[in-house]
Amino acid sequence: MGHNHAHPKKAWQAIRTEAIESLLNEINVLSSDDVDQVVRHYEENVGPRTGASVIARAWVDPGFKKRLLADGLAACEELGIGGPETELLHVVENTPAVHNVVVCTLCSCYPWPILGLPPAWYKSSAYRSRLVREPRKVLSELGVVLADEIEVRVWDSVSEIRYLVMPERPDNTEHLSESELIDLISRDHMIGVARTIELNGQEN
Amino acid sequence: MQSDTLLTALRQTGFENLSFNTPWSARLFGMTLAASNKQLFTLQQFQAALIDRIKEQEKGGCITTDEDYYSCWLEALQGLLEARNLWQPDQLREREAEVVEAGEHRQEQQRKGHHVVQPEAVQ
Repeated sequence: MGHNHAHPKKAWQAIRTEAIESLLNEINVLSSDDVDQVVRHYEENVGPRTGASVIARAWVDPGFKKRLLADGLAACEELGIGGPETELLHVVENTPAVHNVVVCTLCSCYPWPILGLPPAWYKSSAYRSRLVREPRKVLSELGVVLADEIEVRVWDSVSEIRYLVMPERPDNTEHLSESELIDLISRDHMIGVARTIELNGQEN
Repeated sequence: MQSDTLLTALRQTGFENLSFNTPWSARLFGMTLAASNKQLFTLQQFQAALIDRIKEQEKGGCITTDEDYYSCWLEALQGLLEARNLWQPDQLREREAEVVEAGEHRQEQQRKGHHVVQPEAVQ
């Protein structure tokens, strides 16, 4: 070291990632453009609003809803949504009697092309290990307190199947456009760690 | 930290809605999908490698942050690429040393007030 004052150290992960990318470039396996394209796509084009647009369409179009529940990926393709990262998409519908919630106990499988990338808590050991064991308790910690008579269904993305929760359409939204409906739906609704949908600042 | 308060804490990290918390995790994710697109491995093979790595990690501790998680991801990707013998065993270590050296050089230039034209892609 030629100097003695402190600089922030680069994380070992950053160093190794850069080194691997540099080697892959050098041997012409991957270019930086290849990597840039993926990153840009996930930073700019894909996110929870994509999933919200699917749900909103299902709310306004019963035929689409039926197709979505039968084959999630095929229905998404109708809207130009999809990608090689998801092979099977199973959409599960919340009802007054049922609440669905999604987890991946082994790693962090998630419908990337539909929801973007998962948040940190979804990948945490705590969420992954506890949700199956004590779903009501975990959900209550996340702000979803369910009446005893509501059945909780936990969906574990352990194989190629990815899950998407279809929340219930709130009452008194008949006058809203599809675009306004999209604004009501959050990522957490589609994972199932939120149930209530805010409508004009009031809980429905 | 108690596990029952962990989830609440995780949701308050301020990174909730970012695709990537660090530049390196973005590059890592991009490399993985790009490498899969180039058929270096399938995403199913990557998923299996990631599951193995996470299982190892969780024998000794928990995954609580994005950094923990993407560290597993990095080691899973490294394992898959090294299995293809894309580089010699010492090459990665040498390249890491070069990355560190280049970073130090950049910082030294900045300390001296020189402008560095090329931004750092990963930090």
